[in-house]
Amino acid sequence: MDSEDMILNDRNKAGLELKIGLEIHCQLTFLHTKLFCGCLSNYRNSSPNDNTCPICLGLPGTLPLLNKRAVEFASMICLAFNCKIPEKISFYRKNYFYPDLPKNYQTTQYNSYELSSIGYEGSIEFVGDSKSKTNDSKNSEERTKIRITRVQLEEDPGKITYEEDKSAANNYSLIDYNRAGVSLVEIVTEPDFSSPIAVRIFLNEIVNLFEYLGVTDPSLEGSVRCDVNVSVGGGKKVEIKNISSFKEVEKSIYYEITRQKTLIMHNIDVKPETRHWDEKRKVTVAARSKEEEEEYRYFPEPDIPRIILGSKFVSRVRTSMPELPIERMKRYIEVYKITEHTAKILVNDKRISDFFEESLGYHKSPIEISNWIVNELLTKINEKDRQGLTDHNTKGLDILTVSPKQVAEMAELVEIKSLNRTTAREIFDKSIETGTSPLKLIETLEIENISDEKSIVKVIHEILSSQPQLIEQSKNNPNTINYILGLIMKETKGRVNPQIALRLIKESLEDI
Amino acid sequence: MILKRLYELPAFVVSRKIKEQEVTAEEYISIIIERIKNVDFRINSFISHNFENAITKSRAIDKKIKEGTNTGLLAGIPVGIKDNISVQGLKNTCASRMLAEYTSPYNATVVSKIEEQDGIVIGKLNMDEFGMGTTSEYSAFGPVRNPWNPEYVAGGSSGGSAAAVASLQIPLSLGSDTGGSIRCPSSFCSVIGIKPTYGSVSRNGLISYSNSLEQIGPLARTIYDLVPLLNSISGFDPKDNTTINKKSEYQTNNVDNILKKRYKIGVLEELIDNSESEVAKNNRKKVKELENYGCEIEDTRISLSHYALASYYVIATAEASSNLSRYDNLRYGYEGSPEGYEWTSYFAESRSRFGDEVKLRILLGSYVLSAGYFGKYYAKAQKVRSKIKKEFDNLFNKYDILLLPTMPALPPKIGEKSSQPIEHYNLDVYTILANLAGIPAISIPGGLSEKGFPIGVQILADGFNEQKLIDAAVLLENVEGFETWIPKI
Amino acid sequence: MAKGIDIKKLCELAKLEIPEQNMTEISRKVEEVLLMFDKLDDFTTGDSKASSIDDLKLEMALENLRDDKSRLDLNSSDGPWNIFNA
Ligand SMILES: [Zn+2]
Repeated sequence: MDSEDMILNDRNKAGLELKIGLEIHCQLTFLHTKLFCGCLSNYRNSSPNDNTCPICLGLPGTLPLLNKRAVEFASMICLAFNCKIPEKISFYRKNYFYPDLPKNYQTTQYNSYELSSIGYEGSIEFVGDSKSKTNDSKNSEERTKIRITRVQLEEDPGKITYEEDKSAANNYSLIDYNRAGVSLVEIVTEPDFSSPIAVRIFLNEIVNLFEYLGVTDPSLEGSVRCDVNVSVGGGKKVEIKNISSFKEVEKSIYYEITRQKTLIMHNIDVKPETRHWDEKRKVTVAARSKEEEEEYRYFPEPDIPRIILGSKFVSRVRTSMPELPIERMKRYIEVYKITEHTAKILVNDKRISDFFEESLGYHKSPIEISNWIVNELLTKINEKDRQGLTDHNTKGLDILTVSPKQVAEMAELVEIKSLNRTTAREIFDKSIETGTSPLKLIETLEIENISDEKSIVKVIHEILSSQPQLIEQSKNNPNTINYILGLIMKETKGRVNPQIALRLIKESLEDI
Repeated sequence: MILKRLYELPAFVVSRKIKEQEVTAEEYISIIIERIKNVDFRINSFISHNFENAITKSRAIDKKIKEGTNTGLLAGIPVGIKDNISVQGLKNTCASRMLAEYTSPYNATVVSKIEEQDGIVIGKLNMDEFGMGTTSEYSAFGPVRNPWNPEYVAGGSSGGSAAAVASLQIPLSLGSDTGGSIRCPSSFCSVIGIKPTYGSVSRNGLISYSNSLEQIGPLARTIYDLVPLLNSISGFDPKDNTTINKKSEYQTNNVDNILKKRYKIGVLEELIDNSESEVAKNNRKKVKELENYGCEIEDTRISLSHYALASYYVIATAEASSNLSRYDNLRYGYEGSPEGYEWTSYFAESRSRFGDEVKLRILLGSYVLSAGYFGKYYAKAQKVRSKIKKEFDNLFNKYDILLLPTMPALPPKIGEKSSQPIEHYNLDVYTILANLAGIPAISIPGGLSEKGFPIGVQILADGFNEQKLIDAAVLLENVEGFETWIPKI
Repeated sequence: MAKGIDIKKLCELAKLEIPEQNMTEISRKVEEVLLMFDKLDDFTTGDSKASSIDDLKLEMALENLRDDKSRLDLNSSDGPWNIFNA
């Protein structure tokens, strides 16, 4: 990370303003069918070119049949990004030749000639740069606002597999159209990011948002993709495409900043162009000139009528929308009286937040449960995360085999049986390790102790024989019994039931 | 009537005979096949045949009738299908070398509907490549010849659809009309052809040339045959989002009932005047015939026809350039493998198989859509288009129907106009109006020129008012039966 | 406007291969037709209100779009992609 900090610091010294914008592509994986045909949206389990039909193969004479649910899903994304939704939307053809595009044009939306896209003029705020080392902790709570230019609905192309990574060395390439026509939502931001770290935080934030909306499963490979454009010092915009994962997004930006800065230092103009991210070599490579790609010959898609959403559409979508992280956080704070800090951590990952809510179903003690999740469970996950055991684009709740019920029982144990922390943690560890319920574990523990009264008596006798004065004292001072109990606890590391021990102490003293 | 000459009869008459078991569907289909074999080598109206399947189908219909099962509107009637309309299992070439080996895996909605009505697909008909032409000369399978004089063009782009019907090979066919492609050959061959209202017939399975302009429509020798086919194919289709749910059942009313409707007819006199003298003379005669029925007639004009041609060709070529992008011979097309090619050169080489006129239109369309020109061409063309539509709206507030020539000229000789695009495009000036406005239009046989070439008269009505066009056709057909105008083959 | 069109660039854009010997003729035809298209320059709408670029475009209510249902029917004559005639 040190070299990356240097790049940024250099940038600041040189006074070069950094502008980064994003184009995020998100597959609506929770749809059943593709955007324009009845083929499955889930193309990932089919053998090559099986999940296709005349429509998504673009066979002559076929017409696109727009999926109503896709429009609804896309508008949910728009609302989550605080976008305006027009009363009517339309589709355009973006014409370019490429073998992965069955019709050699992509049906998409386009706002140059009219307001066509499903969403426009949105914005999203998040707490930025929390991990930036250069900022002090107060600054880290500063909110960053990113403007959203537009949100549009379009079709995904097919997929090309090359024989070799270097295209020149290819004898063949294979095309699979299973993905062709899958619904894709493109979110375009203004160039409002001023650091690669902000980009990373934003991407994590929106992936979480997608999960809350229930429109896409970000853990599926290729379901959320991102193109980046970078300009340094008010210079020309360079677009980086072909970035496979979010970790690579950050790296590609750092590379591009360095590349452009170097050019500027040598008084070489930065060309407006599209560059591809070469993941193996960790460099960006020139792809094609902007002029070339601007010849998309957009025009209105004649086979799809203008779709009237109507004035009640937005309110209808809004009421049918699942709870968003920000709303959930508010509820945790107001209803459950959880601290803002803890609430924020919970809602930051939908699966953790869902886990929390499910735990509440077993034992309604929000504060205790939230503490267990945030202080115990997440610490364990973070440890694993640091060991690099989790997938890209996702967080690692899956790697721990722990159920909401287990956590709820831990909270219950602590509250009802007033277990001490050390014992509780031991039980929790054992529970995670074996998958056994904590309540069962403590029961077993208790049964062991009860059935083993003889050994408790043995401990008592040992204490009394080494400190015989206690027998006399007990006759005058009732507190002596508690003192003896303390000694027993110390001896057994707290593993005896205090009630039973007290009874046994009394019995032993009487017997003497 | 001798059984062998059954092909001369109107389809509705034969269908009744089949239903009454006077003749069998199989006998009729066999006679039709015989007729096609005897005649078409001189006309070149078919690209491919579907004879075996047709006979199988006819037997099934005979069986249904024998068993007393109800049969549809087109029971036992052979229908020819323009080769840009998909029929499952048949070659679908669009008269292009680009699709020489392409077989459609599915049926166009109109084909399914014809089969639901017990109609029989008899073969695929010749046309201008991808529908781009006004003469049916631009076919990879050679030009369609006019049954009235094989030296002359049959009109286009649905030349095969009109010529096969005119030459008594088949009683009914389907064409497609982007800028007159049904009406032009109907006029040149003396058959009746209708371009329905945009959105009233499904385009699913029609290989797109210009999606926002074109419709599938029927061609026949008499309005009494045309109506059942139109009724069979029209209506809302969930597979075409541009169809409109407004189904109406069209009737062939009797003359008295039609006259009771007291149609007011606007005559586009200026356009008649601008036509070749024989066309003008003939159309005026048609006006006179309607006047003789007691119809109210008034001269009127459409002022924007001047811009119509540019508007039409900008929109048509723009849409075409995009529609035809998919033909890269990667997924289907003709025999040929991309092995050893880099994809861009493979695409370019594959696409060199398009004919010259198609290439020209692709280039034009690519140009008008390219960066910076959208406003100058496409957006402007759309503005003209909506202005023309408004002008028609106003006219139809005043008139039930409008009358004008289908074509401004008589059929040209084959080869005569091939190298002059504008001269060619000018033939479309009267037909494109209906496509731009999305309104229905019909070409009705008007008679013959002195040298024996057919002349058509065109009637327009407001959207979804096909019934008025049908009524007008009934009136004109009842003055002189069209069956007198049959070419000698 | 119709003069000086880079026909080669246009061919590249449209992925068309045109033999060298046909270039002159196709250029002539393109220019001839574009000259006719330029007639549109004379057209003025009168009302300059910024109307939609495509007034005649059909409209459709969202409710009438197809549902997100995959009704695969392998035996349908229209093939497995038929999502309506289940
Ligand atoms: Zn499909």
